[in-house]
Amino acid sequence: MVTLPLILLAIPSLFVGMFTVKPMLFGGWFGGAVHVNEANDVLGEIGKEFDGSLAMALHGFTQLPFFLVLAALVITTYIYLFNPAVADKIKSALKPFWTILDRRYWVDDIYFAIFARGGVALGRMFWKGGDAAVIDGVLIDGSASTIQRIASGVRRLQSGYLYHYAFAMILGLILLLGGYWLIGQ
Amino acid sequence: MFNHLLSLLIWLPIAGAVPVLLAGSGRPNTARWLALLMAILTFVISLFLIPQYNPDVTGMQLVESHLWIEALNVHYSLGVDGISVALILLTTFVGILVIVGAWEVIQDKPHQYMAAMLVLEGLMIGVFCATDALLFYVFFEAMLIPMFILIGIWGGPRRVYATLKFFIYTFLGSIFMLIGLIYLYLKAGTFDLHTLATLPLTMQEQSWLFFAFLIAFAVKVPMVPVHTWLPDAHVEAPTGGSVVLAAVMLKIGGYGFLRFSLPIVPDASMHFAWLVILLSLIAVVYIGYVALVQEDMKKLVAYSSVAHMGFVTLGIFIAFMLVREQGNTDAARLGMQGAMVQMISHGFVSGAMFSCIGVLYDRLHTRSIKDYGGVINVMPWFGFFYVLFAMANCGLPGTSGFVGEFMVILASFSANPWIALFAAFTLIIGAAYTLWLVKRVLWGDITNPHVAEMKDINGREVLVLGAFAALVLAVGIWPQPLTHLMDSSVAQLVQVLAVHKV
Repeated sequence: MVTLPLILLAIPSLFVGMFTVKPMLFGGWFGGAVHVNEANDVLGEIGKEFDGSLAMALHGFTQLPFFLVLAALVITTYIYLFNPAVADKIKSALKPFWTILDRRYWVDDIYFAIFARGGVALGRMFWKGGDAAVIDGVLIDGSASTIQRIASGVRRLQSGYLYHYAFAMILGLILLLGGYWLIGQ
Repeated sequence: MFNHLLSLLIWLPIAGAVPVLLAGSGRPNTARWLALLMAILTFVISLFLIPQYNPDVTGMQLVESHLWIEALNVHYSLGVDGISVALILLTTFVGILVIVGAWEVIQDKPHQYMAAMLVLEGLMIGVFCATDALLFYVFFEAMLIPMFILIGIWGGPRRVYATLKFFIYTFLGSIFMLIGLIYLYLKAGTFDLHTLATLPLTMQEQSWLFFAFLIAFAVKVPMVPVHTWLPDAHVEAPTGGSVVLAAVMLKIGGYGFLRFSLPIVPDASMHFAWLVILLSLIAVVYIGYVALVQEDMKKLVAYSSVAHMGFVTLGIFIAFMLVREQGNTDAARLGMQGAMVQMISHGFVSGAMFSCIGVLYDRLHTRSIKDYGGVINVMPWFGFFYVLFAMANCGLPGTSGFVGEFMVILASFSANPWIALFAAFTLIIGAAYTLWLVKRVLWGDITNPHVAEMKDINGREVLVLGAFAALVLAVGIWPQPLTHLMDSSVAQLVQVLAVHKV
């Protein structure tokens, strides 16, 4: 499904590179927008040798990287298309290295364990321990239930019996008068 | 008419609620259409604010003032600056969408639901217009009543717990504000916010007042550690209630800081800015992790709202450090402007996220993430919107979520790179909880047979989600009209920060 768009993109990119490589890499295409330190000006060095996009492309075929790629192509074609047993032999001979590479140095697993699983564990701790237990449990619902406890205790004072209230009034009167008397002394 | 534009905006929806209510349960469709008409009318009138308001002039505009309570020198005085205009437009816009969103969803007493929504809308506009502290307080408190009704009647199974918690929490907070206002009144003899802003106050007075305001607005925003009412309220609220709560009501907390804490107690605000910044960063990091492990979709988005609102308080209070310690007013304006853009953007994004959850809930009657999975197979159009809003929630460039967060992070970097580091943490953790939510709800194979029977969104739902989507993208791609609207007001606020009262 993506093959056709990729092909359609590849064709113009070839031509764009062919015709604009000089001004883009070695000319003033970007003005002063991209600044490169004098000492690190790799493109500038290449620019001194540059004499046309075709010559540059052809020059690539005479260099070591091209031959290395070619060698890799030959070796892998031989192994995987004509003699797969070699691949198995290499795999069993270099088993530890094979595992390290196959598991991508376990970087994904480590990240998953620390950041993903650790994040979820941390979140659960914050949620259950912080929000649910401390803030809601102790402060919010806790204060509500404390008030309820106090209120249900104090409620017993209101028994509804007239003599309880009369007694409370007499007691209050004694305390008040006693207080006045004490202050008067 | 234009002398009373703000009054009209406040009272039209409130008065409009009466015929909606009178339509009664016998004529639900009449009630629905009337409510929609009122909401649209309010929105259209609010659009007149744009030509009427001059963004190049600082100070309150479209001012109205009448003596209200003579004995206490309380005035019914209204006025708007760029920030209020933006928030009023957000309110009236969301006002239409919640009524459309509730159309067939609310079958039980729809007339009362619609009326409560309209009253709520009017009161919220009132909060954004009031320039008298007592009038502000009245609107601020009155707002609780329709919200109490909305959650308490049309809410989920634990609605009584959630409503009481919501009410007592907010009420407890605002009582402290009332005490502060009374103190200020005794000193100044007026509740006029402009006069209070110029009232000289000692550091000790300012500190007490700062904490009185902080408690009131921190609960509303909400900030850690007084945020626990929000997840409960959201989970139990009907979809429309959640949308209004997230999209507009939370903004009133941030707005309160701008109108009260900053101008009235600037020195104490500076002195305790570190505290607010710390709490904001805790909101971003701690709440981000809490959001990650939520099993209920609404709770997840509710916690994500707390984290996003942390950016608003961060942007507001980082401006203090920038102005007073570094004299860097440009960065301060950037941070403050970012906070305001974040408020508006979060209005769209959270409103949209809750609307999406409402769409799912209407079909499956569960909000539990594990009951879903593979929804994209049966609801591709819904999936399109859901992914878009999820991206906006992560702060993806091109969506409105990016603009505010980026501005606040840039400003905090000028103040202190460490603050920026923790603030930028939201980009990672926000992406983690949002994308994981999308992955578990939308992608994968259908495991629940009921999911296979779900129908894609209908025209009404497309209208609601499409409207949100359009604004999320508009603000994301071209935020300039929004920032221009608020720019002079933000600049003025930043100047206020530099004024020493002691």
